[in-house]
Amino acid sequence: MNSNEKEKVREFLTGLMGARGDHGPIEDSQSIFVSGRLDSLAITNLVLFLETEFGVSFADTAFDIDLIDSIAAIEEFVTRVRV
Amino acid sequence: MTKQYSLAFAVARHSLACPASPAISAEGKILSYGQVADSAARLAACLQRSSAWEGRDGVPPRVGILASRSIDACLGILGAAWAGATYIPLGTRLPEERLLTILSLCNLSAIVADAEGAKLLSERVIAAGPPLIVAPGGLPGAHCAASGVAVFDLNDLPAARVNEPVALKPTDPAYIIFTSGTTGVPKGVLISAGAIRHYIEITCELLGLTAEDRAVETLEVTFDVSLHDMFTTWEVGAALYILPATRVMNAVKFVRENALSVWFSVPSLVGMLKQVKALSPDAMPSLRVSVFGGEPLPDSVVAAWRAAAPNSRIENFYGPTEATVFCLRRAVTAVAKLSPERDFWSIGRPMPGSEAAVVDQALNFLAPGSTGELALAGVQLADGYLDAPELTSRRFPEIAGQRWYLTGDLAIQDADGEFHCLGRIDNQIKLHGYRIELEEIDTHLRQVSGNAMAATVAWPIADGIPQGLVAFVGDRSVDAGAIIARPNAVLPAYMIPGRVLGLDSLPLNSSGKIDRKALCQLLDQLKA
Repeated sequence: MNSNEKEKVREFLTGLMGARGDHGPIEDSQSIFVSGRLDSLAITNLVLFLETEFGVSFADTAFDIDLIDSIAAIEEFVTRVRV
Repeated sequence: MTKQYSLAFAVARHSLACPASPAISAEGKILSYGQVADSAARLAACLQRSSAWEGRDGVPPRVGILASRSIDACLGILGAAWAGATYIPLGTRLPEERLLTILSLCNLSAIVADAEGAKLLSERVIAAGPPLIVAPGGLPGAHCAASGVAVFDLNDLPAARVNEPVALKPTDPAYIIFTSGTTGVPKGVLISAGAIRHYIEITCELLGLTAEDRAVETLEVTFDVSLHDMFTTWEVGAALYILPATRVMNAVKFVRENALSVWFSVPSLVGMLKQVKALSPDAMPSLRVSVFGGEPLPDSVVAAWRAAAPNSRIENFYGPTEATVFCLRRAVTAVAKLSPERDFWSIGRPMPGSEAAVVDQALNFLAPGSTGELALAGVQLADGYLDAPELTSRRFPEIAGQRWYLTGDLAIQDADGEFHCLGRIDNQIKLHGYRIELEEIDTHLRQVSGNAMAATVAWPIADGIPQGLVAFVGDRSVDAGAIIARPNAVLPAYMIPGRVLGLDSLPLNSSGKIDRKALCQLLDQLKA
């Protein structure tokens, strides 16, 4: 995942948080979901976004929230599964 | 043996018969029945020693549980029950104003908090609350001392003799659950010890639960189905595995890793698990009993669940808080039994001890095939709403010499005698299992916007199930951000609209009320 794509992810998450009145910054290593900043519905939004934007498939992975709980984790996950 | 009505009695019994058996697993810890009973008895002794511990005119003392789903929440509930109290789950998601409103309504003798809940104990909350607070680690409380509140450390209570829990009469209230109210004030539903005792007994039997079972807890303690999870599990000496709210999307992984055998959730959680592709074929072979309830059960959810949990029977349960957790059920069978013009499963027939009927506006019983309001009767009916006799007599009328509860659900009985729930008569909706009166949100929107025209709709709707909330205000220049931020102070998070749209005026229907259907159609058009 290049830095441009990474910023797209950050922008998407910032949008979801903004809609919930959370206008704080998102650091790369910060927990997004387990920390409670975003809820389960936002998880489904993010999964759909990653699938359509980067062509990754979650079907071949046993879903685990830790795989996408931070921008750093998302970067690692997308890089690993997108071949 | 005299029948025991205390919610703590089963735990006490198992702590003597099988003290080492696991009762609760959460936060990386496993607590045995012996440990749970010891902690509950210590808490009960602490509560009973308090100067505030007096029933009022024979009414049991009330204990607020300011906690999420956690070990400490379970211990708080069991400790309160052990001491003979009525417990009132307060959760951890209430904004301060709403918490203060509820505190003012329920005259608590004590609050038991978990670590999350303790964060909500501000100076104002402590001043408005009861004279006794028990929380893990106590509280860093200069203002506690100042306001004369006694504080104890939940993790460091003196040992107590583990004898039997205080006996309750079947008519004593076991718990009070607050639900959304149309006027903007939440209403407390009083459930008797006899009603919940009956539910636990018939449900354990119906589901064939055993001491070897391991059940998942996916719910907050403020949702009355949490009683189903906790007390059917502990009734049979089985173990309850608590999945924290922020990890609920890991439910499939959680079931697999812990070889869980019993599942309850709202159907919309399955919809979300499907969206993240967590429901692969045979993902949960250990599940043998799956119960869904709290929302209509779409056939698509059944299909996904059958594939992911092929060894599990599936049950569709139905019931409002006012009739104690659930009171109708339908087994999910090979041949689908769907409701007319819906893709939802039938809600089946009343469980033992409950009755159901469809009535018209004049409260006449209707024959099968006619649509009307679903009414319920039987041993599981609530005593009514806390300190609201007028509302209680309106919603719990006497029909043909029997007390009924009017659910507000539109229903029809088919030729086979099965009931089908077709949605709401009023503007109450279910969003992710939470019951929401749309008028309550409207009330707050009007207050914060200063505009008399305000309406909230559930939108979008997928498979007939609401996915979110959109609010409308009759003012094109409305500051949506400010409107969303302001109700935050008074409404729980699940009642905050995701979007606020300003229109010059809102459409009205023929009776002059804001036309919510037209607003939903508008949203559909905007999307298209």
